[in-house]
Amino acid sequence: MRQASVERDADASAEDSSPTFAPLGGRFISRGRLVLRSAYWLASLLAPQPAERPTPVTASVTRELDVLGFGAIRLVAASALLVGLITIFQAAYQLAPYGAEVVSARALAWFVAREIGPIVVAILVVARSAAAIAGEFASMAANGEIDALRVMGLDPVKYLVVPKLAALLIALPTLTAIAIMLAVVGGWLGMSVVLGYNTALFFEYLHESLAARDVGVGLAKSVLFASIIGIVAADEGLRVERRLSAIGAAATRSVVYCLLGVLGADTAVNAFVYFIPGLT
Amino acid sequence: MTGDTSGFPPNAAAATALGVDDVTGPRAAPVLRNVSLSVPRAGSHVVLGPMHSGKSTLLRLIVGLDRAVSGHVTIDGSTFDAARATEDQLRHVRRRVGVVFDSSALVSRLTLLENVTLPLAEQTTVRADQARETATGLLHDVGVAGTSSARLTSSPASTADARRWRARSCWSRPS
Repeated sequence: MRQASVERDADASAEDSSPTFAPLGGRFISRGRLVLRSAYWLASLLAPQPAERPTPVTASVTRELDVLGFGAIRLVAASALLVGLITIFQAAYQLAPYGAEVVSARALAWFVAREIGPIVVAILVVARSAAAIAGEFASMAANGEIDALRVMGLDPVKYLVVPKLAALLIALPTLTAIAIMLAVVGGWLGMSVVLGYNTALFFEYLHESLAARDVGVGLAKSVLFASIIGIVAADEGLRVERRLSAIGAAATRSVVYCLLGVLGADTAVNAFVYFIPGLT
Repeated sequence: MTGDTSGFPPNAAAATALGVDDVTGPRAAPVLRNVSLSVPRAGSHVVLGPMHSGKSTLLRLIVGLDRAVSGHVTIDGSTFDAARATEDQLRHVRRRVGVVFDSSALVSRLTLLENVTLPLAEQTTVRADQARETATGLLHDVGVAGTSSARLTSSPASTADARRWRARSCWSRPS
């Protein structure tokens, strides 16, 4: 007769075994794995699908695009207009002692395309969506939905993470392009309506200073930021194992780590771009 | 707690649907030590024990949702190392098991019909329309009969009914 012994240590139940904060190295490893698995499923998503067996992931991407992308347009548009106004006022204020207020248009074009556009959009998306993504995944983990997918032999990364990541990779560059345009409109409003400068002069300076590579660097940054937001928020959510109390903490952590990640990546890209001849 | 959880002779391997051999785990914080049991093919069996005695943990170790420190699990003749099984091995074994969770565990972002259709569409070679037909049949089998299309395509959260979880757990016609 076989014997089974079960250690009755109520405090050491499996439900309580997951640490709230994993070591930093653990986070890097976990996110590195998530990046690899997401990249694999993203690549498979781009492969041709048989018409009679459409993957549900494609429909999920459309749904997420609606929530993460279209849902953020009004917020991004309003913020970009205001950022354009703020930038032009600050630049004009600094240049006024030299009688060069009109040159603010040059600063606006360069600064908005390379820096302010992508970073403002990323921060807005973090504020709006990172906590929501982590909270949703954490709630699913706590309710056993993630386990249910695994038991059915389905990879949660494919069905949950990849649609959001793909949607962010499409939405962030698009929102960044919209933000750059509207920030320029905001700057023009500031220059022409508030400061009373000639519109033609504003656009002449803008045209002189805004190069395609500036917009390219801005859009490339937005792709990087989208990856960081998607991976970090998803990882924080999926780390929660069957503990309802940890959902709020996961949402908070996701915002903090996403912001740090976005700012860190921006610093690294700036350092890289500005020290490489020909990219500036 | 020490007790007999098997009650079945070890030489009944041929008639064994489930076998657990010297399992200790889970790896994060072992609460089960050297557990062995075997479950014969026919009949209904329950795991009984006080709260936090490791019942759910045992079931999670059996289907590989938690990793063990050591031990082996046999399901329908296929044995895997509970500590080192690969996801491919686990996926193969899980297809022979139907798991009903204590909470709904239906994927909240999918409709009721999509929840049952998903594993069929993704884990088998059937066409989408066939998977949908089979899923509707499974829902009918568990008593969600005469279900309107509106209800089938609604969020699972809007209709709390344990029968739907059973329908999904039977997608692979487990052993």
